[in-house]
Amino acid sequence: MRRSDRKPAVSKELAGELISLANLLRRPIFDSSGSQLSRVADVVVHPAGSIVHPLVTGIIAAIGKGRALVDIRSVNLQQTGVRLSFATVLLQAPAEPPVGEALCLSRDVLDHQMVDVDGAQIVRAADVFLARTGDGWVLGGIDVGVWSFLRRLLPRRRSCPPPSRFIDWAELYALLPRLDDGHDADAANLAPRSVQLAASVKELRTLKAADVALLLQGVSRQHQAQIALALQGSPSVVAVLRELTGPKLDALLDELDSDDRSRLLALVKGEP
Amino acid sequence: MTTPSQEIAPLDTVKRKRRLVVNIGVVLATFGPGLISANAGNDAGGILTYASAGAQFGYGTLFLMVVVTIGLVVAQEMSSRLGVYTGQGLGGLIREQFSAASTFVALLMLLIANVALTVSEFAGVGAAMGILGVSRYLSIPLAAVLVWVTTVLGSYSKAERLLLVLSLVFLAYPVAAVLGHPDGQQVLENLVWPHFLSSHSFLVLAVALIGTTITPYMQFYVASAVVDKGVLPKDYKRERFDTVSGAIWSDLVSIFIIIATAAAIGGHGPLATAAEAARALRPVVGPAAPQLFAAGLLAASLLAASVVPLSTSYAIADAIGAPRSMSANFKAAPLFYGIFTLQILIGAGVSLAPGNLVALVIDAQALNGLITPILMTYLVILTSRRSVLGSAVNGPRFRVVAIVSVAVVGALAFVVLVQTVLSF
Repeated sequence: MRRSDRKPAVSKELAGELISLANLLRRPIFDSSGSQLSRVADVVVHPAGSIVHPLVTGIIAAIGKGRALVDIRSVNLQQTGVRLSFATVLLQAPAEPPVGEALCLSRDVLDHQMVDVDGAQIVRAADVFLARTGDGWVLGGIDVGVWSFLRRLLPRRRSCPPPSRFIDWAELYALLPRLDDGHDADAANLAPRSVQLAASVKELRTLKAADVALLLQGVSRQHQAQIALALQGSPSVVAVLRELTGPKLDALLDELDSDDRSRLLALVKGEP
Repeated sequence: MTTPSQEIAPLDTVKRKRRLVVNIGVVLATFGPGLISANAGNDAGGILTYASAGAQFGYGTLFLMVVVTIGLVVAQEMSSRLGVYTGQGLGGLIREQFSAASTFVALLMLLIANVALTVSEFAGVGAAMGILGVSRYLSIPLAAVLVWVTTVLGSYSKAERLLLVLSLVFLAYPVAAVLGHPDGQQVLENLVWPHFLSSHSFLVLAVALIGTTITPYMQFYVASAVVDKGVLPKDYKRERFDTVSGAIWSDLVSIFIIIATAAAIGGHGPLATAAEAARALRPVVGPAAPQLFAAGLLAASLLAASVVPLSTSYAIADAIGAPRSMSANFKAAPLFYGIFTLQILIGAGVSLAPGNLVALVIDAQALNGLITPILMTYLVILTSRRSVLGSAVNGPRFRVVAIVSVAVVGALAFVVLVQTVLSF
């Protein structure tokens, strides 16, 4: 059954305490004595191996124009803000937002497009939900409801707002933005980032050609390349790429590095 | 570093000829879409606003059109560059780069501007059919149903080419401007010498000229069109030529509309009916001018009455993250179809209200003019961010030109807004 045919809900596994990222950002960070030190700028998760819901590993605190990364083990995370278990002095050393396999949820996920694999559609995260599990705080999923977006324009409430159209992280294929702020837009910048669950990629590869065509239609050139690369073993994507006109196929291939480009081109041409 | 063309060995004559033909083909392929889209940009609102400028102020708005052309080139270039380098439409880009509140403001402004444009397109239908003796109370509802049904059922693209060909009738304006024997010295003086009147009607028309030329909708359309064409950063120079030449060509036609109308009926006060505007084409097509003008106006209005609401639906659904596809049904994409339908209903409904259709069209363009500097500000911010455009970010000189363009347009809009508010 496609997502559009059913009422989405938070799974039992995530049914405990939830935190809305949109509601958490810019909330105060207090030290152990209760003095406000800074504000929440972002939340970091580290997707790893077969873990369905990536663990939250840190909070990025905004200090003036700088940033400091705080280990999640040193904080008490609540919807209304963050309380540190240590003194002010430890927040003095600024840190760059992490790159590589880490995901910064505000930078990389909130307001960005991703593939809802189960619903075979492109969605945009209007909110991101963290869930408390036995292992600690995890990335539960996203909310794609229009109301969730509009709610961000209203004064924020102290409790976590209920998700209106929740999609579990396990059912998503994230389309990652470019990594660094000073990138060269001319260069392909799609270094593989192993943040996708094998299951969601596998399910993505079962989509029909018409579904793949719709997915590619709804995203930017860079993300088209990411999807095509993830689906390169699927006959559907090969069929769709063969239907693309010259300039559009060139534009998509141009986003890939030379090895990936050659491999995808060989598949399109039907070469072994 | 050598480019591929530098690596080619000297060509013999045959190869050179063949290459020349290919190059001409490339130039035509490049220039063609720009010409067509530029002409399509001259919709009902544009035609009637330029004609009204000529009728009311003679050649007095020509210098303003030169300034507006610079603003148009700057805005179109920024939109096109954003589309080419990010491979993404403006709606999505704004959502990813700005806060939820700023995104909401941008989308609301686009919606208001495009609803106003849709109103003017249906008013254009009413005005065109009025020339042919058909009541607007019959023609506008029929046009609304026709546009909605053909667009939603997907058969619109078949009619699109015919409408585009019919709207080419306005290319007769440059000829009409010459055959109408305008005062060459006055035209030249007004083109190069700043000429402003402090009257409220002149300022409103000036903002309407800005709004109908640097249309907010067009900026979204240009970014999406280059993405759809699959233009790559390495081909941007050619695309920039297309964008800039298209913008200049479009404004040249607009300037000719003003000159032709000024020569025919200039100085007689505001344009009262569309039939008056048709008189400017008489030197070219003789007594058939009203009928041909009506056919062109009807075609241009019907073209834009479908494209403008559709592009609003795409931009808003893209930014919100809602399903947006003509191949989806109403139930699967309620926001997309809902916004489209709402615009058609408001557009047709407002243009049915009693009153002067030409004045309604100009007011709608003035509203666009008030919104233009707001959306241009988003463009300047986006194109000034290295995180968005990398090496294609605005250079220092371009940034100054862009900021000055927004400031000039914004100042004019602000003065009109303050005057209008104070007049109440």
